Amino acid sequence: MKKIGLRKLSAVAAVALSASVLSVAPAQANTTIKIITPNYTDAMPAYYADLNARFMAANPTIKVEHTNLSWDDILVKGRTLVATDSTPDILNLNTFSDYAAAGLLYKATDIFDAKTMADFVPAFIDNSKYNGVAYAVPDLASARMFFYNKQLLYTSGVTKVPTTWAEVTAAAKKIKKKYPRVYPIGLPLGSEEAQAEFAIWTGGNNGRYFDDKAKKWVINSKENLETMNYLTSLVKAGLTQPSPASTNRTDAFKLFSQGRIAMINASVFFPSTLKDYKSKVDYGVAPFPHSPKGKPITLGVQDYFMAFKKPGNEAAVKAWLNFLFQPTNYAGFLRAAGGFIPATKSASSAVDSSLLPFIEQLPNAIFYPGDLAAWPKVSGSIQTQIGTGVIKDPKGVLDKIQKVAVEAGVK
Amino acid sequence: MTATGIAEKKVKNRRPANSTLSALPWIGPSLLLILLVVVWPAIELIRISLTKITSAGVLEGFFGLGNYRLLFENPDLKTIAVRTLIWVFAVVSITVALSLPLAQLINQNFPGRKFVRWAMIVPWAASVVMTSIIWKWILELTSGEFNLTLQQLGLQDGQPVDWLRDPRYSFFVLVWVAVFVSIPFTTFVILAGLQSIPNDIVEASQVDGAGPWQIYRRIKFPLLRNALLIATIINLINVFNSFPIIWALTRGGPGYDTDTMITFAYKMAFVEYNMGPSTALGVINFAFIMLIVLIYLRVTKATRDQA
Amino acid sequence: MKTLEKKNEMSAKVKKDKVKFVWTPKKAATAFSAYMIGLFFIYPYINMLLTSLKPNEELYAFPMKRLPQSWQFDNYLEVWSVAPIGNFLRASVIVSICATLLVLVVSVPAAYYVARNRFKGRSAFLLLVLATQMFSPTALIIGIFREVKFFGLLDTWAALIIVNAGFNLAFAVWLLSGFFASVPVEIEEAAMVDGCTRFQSLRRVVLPVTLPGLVTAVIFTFVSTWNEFTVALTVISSPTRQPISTGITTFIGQYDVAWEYLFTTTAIAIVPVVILFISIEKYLVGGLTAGSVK
Repeated sequence: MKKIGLRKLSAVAAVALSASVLSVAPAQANTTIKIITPNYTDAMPAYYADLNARFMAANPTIKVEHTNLSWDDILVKGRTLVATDSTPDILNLNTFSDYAAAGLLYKATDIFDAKTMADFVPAFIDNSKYNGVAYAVPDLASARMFFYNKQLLYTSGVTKVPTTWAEVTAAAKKIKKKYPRVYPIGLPLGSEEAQAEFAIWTGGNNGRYFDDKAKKWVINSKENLETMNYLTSLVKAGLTQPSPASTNRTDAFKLFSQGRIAMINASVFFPSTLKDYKSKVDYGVAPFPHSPKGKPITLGVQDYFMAFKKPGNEAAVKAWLNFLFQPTNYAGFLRAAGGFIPATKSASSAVDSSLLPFIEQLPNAIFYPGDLAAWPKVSGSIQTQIGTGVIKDPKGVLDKIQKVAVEAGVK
Repeated sequence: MTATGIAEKKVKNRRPANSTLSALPWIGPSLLLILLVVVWPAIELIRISLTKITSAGVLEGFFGLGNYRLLFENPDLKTIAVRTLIWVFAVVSITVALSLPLAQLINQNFPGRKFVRWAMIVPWAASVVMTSIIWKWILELTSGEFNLTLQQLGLQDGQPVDWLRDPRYSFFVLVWVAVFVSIPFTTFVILAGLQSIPNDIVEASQVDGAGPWQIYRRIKFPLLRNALLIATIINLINVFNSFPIIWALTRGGPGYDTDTMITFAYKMAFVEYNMGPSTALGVINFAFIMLIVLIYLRVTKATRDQA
Repeated sequence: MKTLEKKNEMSAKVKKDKVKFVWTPKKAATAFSAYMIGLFFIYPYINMLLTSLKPNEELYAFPMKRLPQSWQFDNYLEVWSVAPIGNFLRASVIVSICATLLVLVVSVPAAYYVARNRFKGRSAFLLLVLATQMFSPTALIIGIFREVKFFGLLDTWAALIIVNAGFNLAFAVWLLSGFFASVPVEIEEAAMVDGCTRFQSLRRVVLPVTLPGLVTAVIFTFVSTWNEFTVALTVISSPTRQPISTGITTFIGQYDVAWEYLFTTTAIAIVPVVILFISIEKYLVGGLTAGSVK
């Protein structure tokens, strides 16, 4: 016990010491910054190791302590870290709004000069605003489209790639008839990404989670209920993989890669995932099907870099983030992350041609209400529950989540 | 717990009762560790269950029974509580029912008995998380060995069954895995009980012409009462507390369909960022375990007094 | 036949271990079912070992094969560079050893004292120990998390060591006090007459006799700390400080589970503790008897 107490004490002393050095002679200050990032792919740790080595060589007074976490870990543990005293200096995550609301973050304009700020894709910067002020910057983005297995579709007698719900149902029935062991539609409403899966289906029926104009939650709207009923009809007809409410995106992707699922909503990085799986499936990509009253949309999802306000860290976090967004370093970031849409205009001009259809869809993109402090909580509730709508009571589930959202507020 | 019973007998009239103070150097460190690791978190849990707490984990002052009110307003709580009771009852009773004959079996004399016992120790020694993950792999929809076996035996035609995700089966699968990891400990406790039965009692009744089944039912089974009791109670608590099995296999899903009160409390706190009601449920879970402990104490005290 | 069996049992009583086994149909049936059951209990772990030896593309091959088509022993070499397994193992070994030592240091005096002495508050103390035995960290996880944070020990091994020691202490006290009580006081008193202090007599006379109990307590604590999951999951955040029990989740990625590496790591984590546990099999039964059942 004593030893631990001592260790803690010396740690405190060390921190106090470095702080006092900092205040006396800022020019030679040694600053340590803690950075936590998720592993988009296995290539991320190597990328950051190289980046940090070069950064520290160029900035000898700054020391970087970098932690790479799996997405699973960063969502649960990264957040608990922030809820305690162990806040990092820089965090890369899929939400930022509750930290902005708690006043923990630097403004983006404090970190980046006007030129760099102007280089970010405007729509993505807009999504990084809380109360009209950008407190984070986009690191990359994804859009979703409709992936289909060409061989399964064409040999089942489907001549045209479905663009509407009715055509999806019709095509699925043909596939099921021809290939009884294939699941025509992948519908992963398991907790991993249920909020995305439902958003893209209901988006094509003009359904949303949050009404931006009226500033209120609309989770149990008529449109969302219609979507839920349509999806339920697919499940009841046996046109999806079994147990949609507990199938995660990862599971469904795997089935698609094996040729066991014929049609699925997937993200811009899916082609590179299929390559990783060594999949032999010949697939096509099309705009996502919509209902009679809707239009084709895509779901835009972006992640964020944010910097936490701590005494004496401003110069260091500024230096690191600007270093990362230097064109060559940022290009390396995108390569390591594997097939996402760039968050800056300058990087967008040089993307791989396979990304173009996704970028073309961006004007039709809908986004999560990620600028609300309540979003993380609401999203958690959607993830665990919305899938049960297609196997139980569609309306009851939507009402239940709506109630959670209303209680969480609209700030 | 009769260890202390033995201690009691030996101690009598040996040495005069000492003061608590002189005992402190001996038991003090234990006491400190228990206070630190068990009592403090318990009190802390109760304290924050009475406090308003934000989704980011920041405390915002006294909240009275507000968190409890929020918890009891939750429409899913009742189903989850009932499921928890079914879960505990099903796993414990199946485990004990299977362990009784198993202990009898590995108490027999046959070549290689040692290896069979070793094999049965493996799930006990292996981490429950890891065992659960292995079962998850075996029960996978298209790449699991279980569905493959069913197909090869001709027991499954057409679509394979999604054991882990289909709400019709997933709860039973969880019970199955929980029984699998509970059997070894239970069997060994009962085996220990069987071995402590004096041979001469058994032999005497054999001489009296009792058959094996009669011996088991009339002589051995009653003498196993204590072993069974301990196995049951420890299993009750382990199964109630078992988080890794459910978390690794289904995460309590779909929805809350396979959640127990333990996983539900974790899910509320760390997935849905609903800290307040989660701490209230934590306190209720704690109280529930306390209740089992008290029952246990009553029962063991009763049997000790009898003996 | 019957008399033969009887005779066998009689001699079994005399020379327990050296009985000559005679096969009868009934015994063959018993033995056969026991072997099947033994196989059944290690089946998942055999599946684990076989999967860990498959190359990645065979994992989802259709139709699936039970045995690896090309045995990929390299998985066991590659896994060390895929994830910091070395770090995980080091963390597990350090945390488990320290927790075990802490349990020993704290539980031996307490167990000895309660076995030998009566004092005011003795039964209250035993009650507390018993209640501790019944708790698992899972139910208290939020309280533990906040306490660890309070002491500034988040993301440290110290937190894991103390928490694990605390929760395993009860079993050790419980088990050891049974063993101590079984040592005749006379032996000890004789030693004390010879000029040993109380502590010396504990060390020189009592501890050797109670060695099986100590070994059991040590291995029990070690294995349960090694396998502990929930506290490690909640308290440790740096991947480099994770023990193996939570470290294996590294292979459960956002889009894919690397089953072959997951299972090589699982095998690396399971095999040593299984061997440890099997090594106390003899004492395990005795320990359970002494501690709880008799």
